[in-house]
Amino acid sequence: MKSAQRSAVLDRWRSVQWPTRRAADWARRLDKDRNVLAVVAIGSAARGCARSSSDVDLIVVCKDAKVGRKAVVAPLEVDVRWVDAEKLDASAALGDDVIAWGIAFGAPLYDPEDIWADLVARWRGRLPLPSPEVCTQRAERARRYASDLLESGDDEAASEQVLTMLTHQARLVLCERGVFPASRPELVEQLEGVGAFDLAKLLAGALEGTIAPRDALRSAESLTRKNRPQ
Amino acid sequence: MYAIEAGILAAAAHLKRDVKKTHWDKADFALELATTHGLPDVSDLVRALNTGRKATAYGDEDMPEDELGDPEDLAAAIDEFIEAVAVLLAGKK
Repeated sequence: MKSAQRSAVLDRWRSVQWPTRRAADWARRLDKDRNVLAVVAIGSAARGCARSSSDVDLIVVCKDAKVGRKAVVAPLEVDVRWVDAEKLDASAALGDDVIAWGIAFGAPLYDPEDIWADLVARWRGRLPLPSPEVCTQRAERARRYASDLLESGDDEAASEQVLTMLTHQARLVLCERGVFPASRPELVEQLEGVGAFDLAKLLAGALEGTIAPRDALRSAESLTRKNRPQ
Repeated sequence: MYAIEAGILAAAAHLKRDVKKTHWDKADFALELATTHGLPDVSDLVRALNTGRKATAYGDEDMPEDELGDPEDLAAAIDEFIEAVAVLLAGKK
């Protein structure tokens, strides 16, 4: 690898917000595994806008993903998506959320054979948007869980589900307006960009923990009713 | 998962320990509860349940069915941990 390339890779490693030292150490050892062909950081940690409580998301491209998944146990704060190299194009074509997101915004940390770089070159600019139906289903499921958790008195758990619900609602709005959703903290600005100010405000409040889950749930339900086609 | 995590935080409060709200800090403390206070070790279970939560919420991971095992055994493991936390809180351990 040329020194300029090595320097660029090192910069990307440094730009990722690793939640713990052990997470970074664990990820660095992946390049010693002969089954691993590429490592790509995705999500807010890769975009430099993660919260301190955010885990780090990685796509690990393997010769055999099943082997990787069974052989290597990641720390809990590292969220790994193991994928077979030969299935990457098919996953992108099917609109797989993680692969599409990785192509659009991911930071490759290890890609000695340019497997990821070639994939990006083939797909950038023609990625399918996430499915609105799937966003709607996931938002509704998280709403039900949040409601049940509030009823049981676990506000902290309900807050997590409210955040999940609002994330899917934000993704839905953006997809309907032809915008590819970025990482969760960036959704607020993207929503403002398409004029969805009420949802942007609600998501910002949930991200910052300044809105109680019960109030967020009530406001989100009212927004959904308001935006439902008559 | 939330029941186990609530148990972990209850034990932390009882032991006057400050545990952050992240899933991985709770799992780390669960391991400590097992090694230093003799509670059932649910650290791997927290990991599997958290993966299950993400699989359900975002669909970007497979449900770890092998790790979660039989639903009745899973419910029993959660019950056992909650009972052990109750004993710890009652000062019997």
